[in-house]
Amino acid sequence: MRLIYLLAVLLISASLLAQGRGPGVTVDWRRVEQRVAWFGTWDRAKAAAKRTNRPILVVSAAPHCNKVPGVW
Amino acid sequence: MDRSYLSDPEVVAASRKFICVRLASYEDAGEVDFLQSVFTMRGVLQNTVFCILAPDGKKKLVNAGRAPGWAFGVAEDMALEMNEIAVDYKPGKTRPVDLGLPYLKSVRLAMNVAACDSQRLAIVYAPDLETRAALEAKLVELAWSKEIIGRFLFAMTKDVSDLAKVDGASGEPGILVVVPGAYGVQGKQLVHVPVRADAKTLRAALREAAESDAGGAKDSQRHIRRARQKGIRWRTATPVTDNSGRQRRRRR
Repeated sequence: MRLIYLLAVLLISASLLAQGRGPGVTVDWRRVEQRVAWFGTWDRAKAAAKRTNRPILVVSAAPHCNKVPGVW
Repeated sequence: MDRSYLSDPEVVAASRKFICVRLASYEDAGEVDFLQSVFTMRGVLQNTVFCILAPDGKKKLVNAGRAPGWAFGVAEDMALEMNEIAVDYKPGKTRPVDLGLPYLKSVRLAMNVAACDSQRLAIVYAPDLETRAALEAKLVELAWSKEIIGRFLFAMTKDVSDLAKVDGASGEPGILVVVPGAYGVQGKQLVHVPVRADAKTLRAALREAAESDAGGAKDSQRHIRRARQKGIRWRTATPVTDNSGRQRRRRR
């Protein structure tokens, strides 16, 4: 059981390191060429979807962690 | 937030055929109601929500959940499904004016979100509606252009006091490009484009600003530790209902 746990931890760590990230480290946006263009309010997004007949990708997240702003 | 899907190049390419909306979970009572209609766990709105909806904003086209991983095994699957969904709706050629500017709710929130994203923020500021409309007409054409799309967040204000936390802001109406500080409670003006500037000048200013450094990866734990030392805290507009993170930390 311990061996499986250890292997899982190693695999996740290797995956994060392969992306240039350690645990708890966010995406390095300097390396990302293109980003999603996000609407920031539901009212505007819904109105735009209605006008353009585009489907809607909905995501929500809190722009704070442990009540600290500046990190998702 | 699951960034491995949403920063994937194929997902980003597919997203151009969608209206993409990312809401701040506890910052607007009306949006809380909407998010609760999309996904809850045991009736409780979670910190994060994910879904794809039809253009009516109601019909769910994939399983809703906390993150894209609840609906798709890998980012490639998500991109494939998004491309198939887009074909079903055959959106015609869209004009930028049909999309409008994708503002965040307020300058305060936008600065925080920009800090979360290590992203630049374009703020439209003018006390009167007519001037704001003129600025928006110029900006909207650029906001959705190939060279600018996804490279800025946007906010609007008619209240000069909203710019109090922007170092270098003169209070003159125009479009301010701001780089947020690490915590998004203050920012620095990179450039101010005045009302009289033409579209060509605005384009050049945005292109130059888009190349500026808005920060890279953050170590969340170090970020939180330093914020606590500085006494920086975020107050949400509505109560935080998802306490799973706090409970996990208490169990440790």
